[in-house]
Formats: sequence, C-alpha cells, structure tokens
Amino acid sequence: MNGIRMWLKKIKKHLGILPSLVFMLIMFWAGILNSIKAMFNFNLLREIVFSREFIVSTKYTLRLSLFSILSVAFVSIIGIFILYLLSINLSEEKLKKIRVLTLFPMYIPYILAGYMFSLILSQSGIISTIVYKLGFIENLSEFPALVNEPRGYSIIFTYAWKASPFIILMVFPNILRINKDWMDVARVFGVGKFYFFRKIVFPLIMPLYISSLFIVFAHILSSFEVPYLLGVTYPRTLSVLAYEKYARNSVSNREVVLVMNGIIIFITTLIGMIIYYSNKSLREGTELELEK
Amino acid sequence: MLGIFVFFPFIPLLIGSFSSVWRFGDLLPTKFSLSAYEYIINNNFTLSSIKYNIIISYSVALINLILAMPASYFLARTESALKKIYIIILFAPLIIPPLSSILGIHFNMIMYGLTGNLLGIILVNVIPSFPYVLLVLLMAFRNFPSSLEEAALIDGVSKYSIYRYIFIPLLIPNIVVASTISILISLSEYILTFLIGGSKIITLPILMFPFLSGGDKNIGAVYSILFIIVNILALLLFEFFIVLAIKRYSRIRI
Repeated sequence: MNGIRMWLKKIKKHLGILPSLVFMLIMFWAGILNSIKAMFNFNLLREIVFSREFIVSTKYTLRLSLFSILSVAFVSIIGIFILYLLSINLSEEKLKKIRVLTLFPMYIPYILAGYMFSLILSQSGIISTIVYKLGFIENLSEFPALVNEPRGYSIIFTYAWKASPFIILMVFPNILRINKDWMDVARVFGVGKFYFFRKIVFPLIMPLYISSLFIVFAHILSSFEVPYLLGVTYPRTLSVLAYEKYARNSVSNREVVLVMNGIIIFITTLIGMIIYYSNKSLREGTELELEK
Repeated sequence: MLGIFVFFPFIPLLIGSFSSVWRFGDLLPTKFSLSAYEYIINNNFTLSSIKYNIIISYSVALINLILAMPASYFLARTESALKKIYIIILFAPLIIPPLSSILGIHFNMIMYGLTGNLLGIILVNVIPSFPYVLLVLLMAFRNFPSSLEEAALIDGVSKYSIYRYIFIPLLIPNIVVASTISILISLSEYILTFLIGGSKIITLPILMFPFLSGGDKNIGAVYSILFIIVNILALLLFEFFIVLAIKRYSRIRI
C-alpha cells in the first residue's frame, strides 16, 4: 500500500512533464527506434554502406555541408565584426533596430530563400544580366551554371544567407556584454579596433560561435528542402535520397530507407554530442578567463 | 552594407511578379502585367490552402504552448535525477531531423489512420517546433522569481490557479515569442505535411513548390510574395488573439 502511494506521489510530481514526454516518445522516438532497429540487419547495412549510390551521396552531403558551413562561418564573422564596429559608436536603440534588420532572413522559410537565390544566380538571373550589361559575357551560356548543378553553389549561397543571422543572434548578446571600459583602456594603450576584436572580442565569443556553427552544420547535413529544390538528380544528398526512395516505392524500399535514416540519425547524434561536450569545455574555459 | 546583404534577394522577386516579358539581357522587364496575380486569385486552391495553413499552424502553436508550459516549469523548478534524460528526449528534434523519424513511423501512422487528415498533420508539425517553444519558456521560467508562486502556495492557491493568475499573464511576452517561432516553423513546413497529408490536404508551400522548382517564374514569385504576406498577417492575428484570450482568461482588466 505504501509502495503504491509512493509511486503515485512520484507520478504526481512528474505530471507536468509527462504529456510532452509521452508525445515525443510516441511521435518522435518511436520512428528513431524503428530506424535503429532496422540497422541491426547487418547484411542489409553492409549492402547499403558499400553501395556506390550511398557512398557518392555521403561524400556529396559531407562536402556540401562543409562548404556551406565554411561560407556561413565567413559571412557571420564579417557580420559580427560590422555589428561590433557599430556597437562602439551607436546607441542601444539604434543597435536594436539594426539587429532586427540583420535577423530578417530568419523569418523567410528555406524554400523561399532557395527560390530567391535560384532567381538571382540562374543563367538568366540578375547577376548574369548585370555581368552581360557590363560586357563580360556575350551570351547566356557563357555564364556558369550555378543552379541545379552537381556542385551545389546555389545551395551554399542560400545557407550563407539564411543561416548566418542565426549565428549572429546567438553570439550578439555576448558582444553587448563586453565591458565598454575595456575598449577605453585599450585605446589608451593605442590598440586599434581590429586588434581589439581579434584579441579580446573574438576569444570571448568563440565558444558560442563554434557551438552554434555545429548546430547549423547538423541542420544543413540533414536538411531536405533546399537540396531538394536546388539540387540535381545525381548526386543527391542523403536525406533527399532516402525520401525519394521512399516516395518511389514505400513498401519495397522501406527497410533500405530505414537503414539510411538510421545512418543519418547516427551522424547527427554524433555531431550533437560534439556540440554538447565542446560547449561544456569551451565555456568553462572562457568563464575562467572572464573571472581573471 | 548589411542592409544590402539582407534585402537584395527580394528585388528580383518583386520585379518578377509583375513582369510578362523579361528577356535575358534586360535589367528590367520590357512588359509589365498582372496576369500572374490574376491566375492566383482565380485558382481555387489558393484560398483553401491558406485556410489549411492557418488551421494547422494555429493548432500546432496551441498544442505546443499547452505541452511546453508545464514541462518547462518542471524543468526549471523541480529537482529530479532523470532531468538529463528528459532534456535529451524533448530537445532531440533540434539535432535529429524529424523527417528521418517520421519516415520510420509512417507505416504505423497509416495503420492508425493518421495520414491524409488534419489531425495527423498537426501532430507531426508539433515535432520540429516543440523544442524551440520549450526553450523559450524554459528561459522565461529560469528568469522568473520563485517568490511569487511561493507566496501563492502559502496562501493555499491551487496549482491550476497559479498558472491561470500568475504564470500565464506574466509570461505574455514569452508566450508571444514562443508562438511566433512555432507558427513560423509550421507555416513553412513542406515535406512533413506533404508526406502525411498525401495529396488530400494542400497547404500553401505544397501548392507553390512546383512553381518554385522550375515552373512558371512569375507565378512562383507571386506565390512567394503571397506567402510572406500570409506569414506576417497570420503572426499578427495570432498574437492579437492570444493576448486577448489570455487577458480574458486571467481576468486582467486594462
């Protein structure tokens, strides 16, 4: 009797979180378990992992995500640098407005962003027209194909535009936290703005910067819409490949798709663990620095 | 410079929606027309897809809030040895793609009759947005002083009333932010809705996708503009009504 009452008490304590846990377990984790269960069919797993289609897709996905994340890192660090320069001179009111402006791409869905970049970068798009008007090319076909081509340039551009604001959003509060007196001290000693950014600001934002880059990397790696819209039929990214196999024949390809999903889940979980641990160790490092 | 970087992709979208003849080599279209707008207004699916979009995103936002409110309170205040596991379970869709998971249980969803109807789509759309809503509310509860609820508990106020008269009215700004994120995500969700809805329920992203991927460029541009407008209007409308509803519910008179 006592045992039951204790259990009831325990359940009552967890009542708040129970509905969301049940929901997530049924709707989300059941699917993941199904995929992982399918991976234990080792013959099938070996067959898929060593199939040419899968290897090409994996290579393509990794290369595409790597280039995308590098471009995101580049664009966002420039954005952060500009915001830092602005934050020295401008009042907080204006800074807030500028921040809202920078975050605007976050409100545009991925498919629209992809579409807008296909309008800009395609062979008959704006950039090719401007280049033509300036006299660099003489007809349409001289402009390199940037949309729906196997290297995925337009995908990289879309991510650079769409994901950089997220990184700025994550990092920006830390920039505002940096003491204004430090800059004054630095100025007394004749330190330039760029040097101050490199030596003081950048090390402070580094942990958050890196971990948010990893979040974006995991997202790009598994994302579906943009490669589906701007990619080509061969090579395809892993998630597009899995989905198209499923859409073509959901009955006979089901096991294969489940195994592929299992592999995607495995890779993203690995990245998730990297985010978690790197975040922990890096953040502890900077907290110590701040205390000094 | 930031402004240019942020806004330049919209220019061809706007110009493209009005053009009828836009040959290569012309900076601006040589002929303007409204035919693409006419096509969209006359398309029967446009209105119904907007209706579906709004129904889905609003229900998803409400479910998210109802699920995340007590869960975030639990995570912020209660001590439990299992908290780490709960956090992993609830925040996993941030890293692990929901599409991979849904492909895994698609068969079960067909068996239980959750495909091709609104219920299934709504349930599926909760998954990608729930972690964000939970995160926003969790941060809110962490910054929320616990003295208020302690005072209420001493006076013998029930848990339900604490939510009704203390948490919900005081957390209105956070609720608005959380529901904004939720609506933004579920409005633009393409593949999950497409997979679960089959061809029975057509939302705006599904309707415009063929035009975006190599269809008529003008119509694609107009749909994009319509989509952005619907996004903004749906957000404003929801914010307005949720604030109104909370004020009514918590009996705030302003």
